[in-house]
Amino acid sequence: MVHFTAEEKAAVANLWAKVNVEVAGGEILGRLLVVYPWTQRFFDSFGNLSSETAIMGNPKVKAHGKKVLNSFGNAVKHMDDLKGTFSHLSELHCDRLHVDPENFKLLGNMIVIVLATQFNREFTPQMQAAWQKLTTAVANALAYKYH
Amino acid sequence: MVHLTGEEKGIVTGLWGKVNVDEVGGEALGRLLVVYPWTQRFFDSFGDLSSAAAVMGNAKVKAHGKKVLDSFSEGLKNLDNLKGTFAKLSELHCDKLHVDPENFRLLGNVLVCVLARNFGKDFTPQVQAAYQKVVVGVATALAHKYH
Repeated sequence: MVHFTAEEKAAVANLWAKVNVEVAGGEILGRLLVVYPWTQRFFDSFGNLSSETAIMGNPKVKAHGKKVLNSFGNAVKHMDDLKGTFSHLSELHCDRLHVDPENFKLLGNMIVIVLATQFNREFTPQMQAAWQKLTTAVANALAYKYH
Repeated sequence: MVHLTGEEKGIVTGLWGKVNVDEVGGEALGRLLVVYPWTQRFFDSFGDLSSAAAVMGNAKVKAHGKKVLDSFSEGLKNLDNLKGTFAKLSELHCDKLHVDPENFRLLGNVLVCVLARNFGKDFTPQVQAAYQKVVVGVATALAHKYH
């Protein structure tokens, strides 16, 4: 189980409070689809993903990005029990959505990068370390129920 | 072998022209050591790495970071022959330095993060995608001579 220090928890919560989940969510999911184009295969029903502009402007991408990042918000509230928090989502992603868990790590890296673009001053090395730890732990929690 | 389109090459060199290689090198290496603390094992002779502040302010970290990034810059001038460009360094990292090639991917990701932080909105999804391709190409080239 991953352990976060009180300092790390405070840093994460502090930055999270400043995140516009709707905007950042769409940005994060959009960038995943642009930077790692094979991830588009999970979003066949989303319509036009034919270019960077199409992806970043796609309303379904934005809506789903918001949904995903809201869910990530639960991680911030339950950093001591990520496996429990993401248990159902883990089963869903394995049994119904058939998503390779490697993609959770890629999305986690995307979260870190979008935070870096949006929070220049606040995204210190310590802040980056705390968020990298969290996104890795969430990725592991999402993979936990895979079989 | 990594293939970058003419447009991607232009994007990569265009942004790189604005990068302060001295500073970004130290920043990237420092952040590697803070975010992935096990990487400090390769730098025993660097002195005080006991805290984020110590790492980021360490003169040897800054100097070595600059050296690493100068080398990366060379790669950017030879995007069509990364394996050739990094052949000797690949042998060095395998035979003398004994560095697990996974760490090249980690450094690549940290570099992308530092560029994202420094360039904010200008680090568009397209720019990010091009750089992600480059850092993966460089990491692969550095691992190529491993045996």
